[in-house]
Amino acid sequence: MIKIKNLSKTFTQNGNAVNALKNISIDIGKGEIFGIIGMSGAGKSTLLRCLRALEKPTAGEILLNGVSLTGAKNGRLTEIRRSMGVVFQGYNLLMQRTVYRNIAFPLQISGVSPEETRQRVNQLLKVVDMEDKKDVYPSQLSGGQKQRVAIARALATNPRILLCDEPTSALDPLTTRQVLALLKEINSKLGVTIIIITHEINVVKNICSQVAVISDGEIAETGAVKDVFTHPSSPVTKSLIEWQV
Amino acid sequence: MAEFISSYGLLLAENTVDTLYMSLLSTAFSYILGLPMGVLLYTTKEGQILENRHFNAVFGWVINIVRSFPFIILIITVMPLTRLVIGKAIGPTAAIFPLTIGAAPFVARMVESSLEEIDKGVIEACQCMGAAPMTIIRVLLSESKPSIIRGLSITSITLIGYSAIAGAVGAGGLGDIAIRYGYHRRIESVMWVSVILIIIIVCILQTVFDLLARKSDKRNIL
Repeated sequence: MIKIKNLSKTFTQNGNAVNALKNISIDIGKGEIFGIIGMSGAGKSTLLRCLRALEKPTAGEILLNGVSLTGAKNGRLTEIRRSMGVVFQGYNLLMQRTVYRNIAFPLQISGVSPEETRQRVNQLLKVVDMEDKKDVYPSQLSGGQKQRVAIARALATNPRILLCDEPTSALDPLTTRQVLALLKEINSKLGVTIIIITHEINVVKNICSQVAVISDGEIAETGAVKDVFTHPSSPVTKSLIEWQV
Repeated sequence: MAEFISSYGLLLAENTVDTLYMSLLSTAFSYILGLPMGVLLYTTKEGQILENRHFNAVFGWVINIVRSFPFIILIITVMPLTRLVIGKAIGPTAAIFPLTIGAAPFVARMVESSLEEIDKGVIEACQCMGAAPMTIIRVLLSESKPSIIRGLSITSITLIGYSAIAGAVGAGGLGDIAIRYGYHRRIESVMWVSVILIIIIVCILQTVFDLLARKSDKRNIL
C-alpha cells in the first residue's frame, strides 16, 4: 500500500548539511499496523512529514498505491492528504469548538452535506465511545478522551491510512492501553492501515505487526515485531529493549 | 452643585458623547483596517501558510513607521488626507480619520500577537485535513477570539486617551475640556469631573470586554 523507496532528506543548517534520513526503504502492506520506532532525533518526525507530503525528500520517493507522493501537484496533494488521517501527540484539537464540531470540521472543509456530516459524526462518536461528550469542549476532557476525539476526527473523511505521531506519549499507562485498544479495533473493524511513530517499545509490542527501527536517519532493522524483538540484531534495538522494561 | 450643573452640565454631557463617538467609531474602523493587516502580518511569516519574507519585512516596517509617529504629529501630517476623506479637518468626525490611521497598525500588532498564541499544531492539523489558507485563517481567528476581544478593550481605552490629544485640533471630547477648562482656565471642578467621567467610561469598557472575552473563551470551563 505504501512503498518508501530509497528516501533521503538533507537539511542545510548554518551552512552544514544534516542528513536527517538516509536511504530509507520500507514496505507497508494494506491493513497492517506498522510501527516506526527510534530514539528522539533519529529522524522519525522527518519521515512522518515526508509521508504527509509536508516535506519534499532530497532523493527517493514514496508511492501510495503505486502513485508517487513526491511528484504530486497541489490539487492532487490535497486529495492525498485527505486520504490519510493524522493523530498527533498533542491532540491539536480546536479549543473553541465542541467535540462534535471538532469531528465535523474535516467533513465541512471537504464539502460534505450537513445531513451526511451529522450522521457520520454520530457514527464516529460511537466508534470512539464519546457519545455523551459530544457537546463539551476539549478543555473539559482528559488526555485520553482528547486523543479519542482526535482519532475520530482523523477518521472522519474515511481515510485508508491513519498516521499516528507519538499518539500515546503524553498519556499514562492505563490510558495508553485504552487508546491502543481503540486503534487496534479500528484497524480490525474498518480495515484502516495504521502507521505508528513512537519511542515506546511497549506500544509497538502491544499492537504492531511489523516494525522498523530507525537510528541516525537509517533503518537499523525491520521485520515482524516478534522476530525483531526476540532476536534483535542491531545495537539500537538491543538498547531500546534494555532501556524500557 | 446645582450651579455647577447649570453652567457646565451641558458642556460635559456633549463632550462625553463626543468622546464615546470618537473612540468607539475609530476603534471599529481601526479593526476593519487592522484585523486583515494583522492576519497578513502573521500568515506571511517564515514557515507560515502564506509565507512571503520580502512582503512581511516591508509590511512590518511600514507598520513600525506609522506607529512611531507621535500622535499629534500624525494628526497634522494626515490633515490634507483628512480633508479629502471626511470633507473637513476640524471636529470630532474629522478626528476619527487620524485616530483610525494611528490605531490600525497598533491593532495589526495586537492581532498578530493574538494569533501567535495559538498552538502551531492546530495549523498543522488543518493542513493535514487539506484545509485551504482561507479556512485556516478562519480557524485561527475563531481560536484566538478571546484574545482578540481583550485586544479590543486595550485599543478602545487607548483611543480614549488619543482622542484627548485630538482635542488640540478642535475635536472636543472630555480630555479636551479637561485641558482647556481645567488646565488653561483653572476651573478645577470641570477638570476633575471630566477625569472622573473618563474613568467611568474606561471601567465600563474594560468590564464589558472582559465579560465578553471570558464568555467566548472555551478553554477554561470545567
